[in-house]
Amino acid sequence: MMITIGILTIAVIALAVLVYKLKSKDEETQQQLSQLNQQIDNMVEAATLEAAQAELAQVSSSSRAEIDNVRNEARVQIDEALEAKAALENELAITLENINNQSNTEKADVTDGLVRVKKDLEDLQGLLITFERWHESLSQLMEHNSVMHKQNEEFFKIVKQIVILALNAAIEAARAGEFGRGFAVVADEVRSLAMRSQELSESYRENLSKNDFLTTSTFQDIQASGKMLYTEVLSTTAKVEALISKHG
Amino acid sequence: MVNPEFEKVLKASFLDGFEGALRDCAPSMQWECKELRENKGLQSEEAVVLTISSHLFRIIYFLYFTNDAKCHEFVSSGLNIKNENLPQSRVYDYLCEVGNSFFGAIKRTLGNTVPSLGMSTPNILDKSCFKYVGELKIDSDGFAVAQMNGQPLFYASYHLSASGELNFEVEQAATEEVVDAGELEFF
Repeated sequence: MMITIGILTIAVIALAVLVYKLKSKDEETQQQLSQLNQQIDNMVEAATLEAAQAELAQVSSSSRAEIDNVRNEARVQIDEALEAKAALENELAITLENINNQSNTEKADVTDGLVRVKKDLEDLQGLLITFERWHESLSQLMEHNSVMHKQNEEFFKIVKQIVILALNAAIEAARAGEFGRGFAVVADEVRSLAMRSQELSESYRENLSKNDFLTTSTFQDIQASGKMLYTEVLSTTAKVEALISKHG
Repeated sequence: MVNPEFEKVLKASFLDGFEGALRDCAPSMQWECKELRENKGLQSEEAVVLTISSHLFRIIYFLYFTNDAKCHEFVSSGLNIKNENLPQSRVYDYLCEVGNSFFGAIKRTLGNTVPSLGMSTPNILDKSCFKYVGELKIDSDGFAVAQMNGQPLFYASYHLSASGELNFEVEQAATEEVVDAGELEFF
């Protein structure tokens, strides 16, 4: 029994040793496996990298070709554009020259026109002489009106005298009685004529006054408008002169 | 026919010009110019008459006076000569100068609103002519009196005759001036 127990104990110990050893072996194996896995991973990674490098090289080569193509196409297009630009510049230069020539001709025409307008305006300034002439004529007219006023006043006084004379004649005729009857008729006629002359003279005086006013107001309007026109002509002449000096 | 803004400028320039011209001639006197509702100048014996014209209108201005002692006193004071040495021609010449100054000031003011204007030389008209101003087609008019030391000495009137619509654009400053031109007193 003791032997059996001893054997069993030894067996257990041996089994324990074995288990221990197996465990140690297993750990070692696990470690080796892990290392192996690592190595495999490294190998896979290296292979992937190599493949990727190969692929990249391929892509890079294709892209470069494509870039080269694009570059070439772009160069061709740039060359074409440069040619077109040169042609356009040439065309523009010719057009500009034509425009410039035309503009010079037109400018010369405008300047000539402005010089002619300026001369016409300077001639128009002679209007002042016309206004002076009108002024003189109207002054004469006003003086003439004034003389007519005076003459009419004189005539009015004479007519008043005639009225008084006719009245006196009628009185004398009445005093002469039968002998003065014919004379009384004449005196009445003279008085009647004198009264009509007086009315006429008064109406004439009114018309002369109206004439004075209308002549003066018309003359003044003409004179003022003339001065306004003259100022306008001077101002326009100055503007034309400024344009000539700008364009000439 | 005449827009109210332009009418205001007309009236203000008329009153300002009237008083300004008289103050310039006799600064030592007390002057007061007032607007009137009716033309009291018609009672005066004579008038200095002057016209301001533009493309679209004409304005005839009257400076009424009576050739009496008061008027001679004003003229002799302005000319700085004794009243008894004052010839009649000098009186008329001086009053024409007053008219020129009065209406010239108006023209300058109106010139700010109306692009081109012309002014005539003055003439003297007798009382018998005054009533014929109605022969012109009048669209707007105004009347005023100038009092020297509280006594009426001169009267004035303007009569505008337009050839078309007068719609001048009046500058704001000019309108403000008009508003501030003093109160108008009606007789």
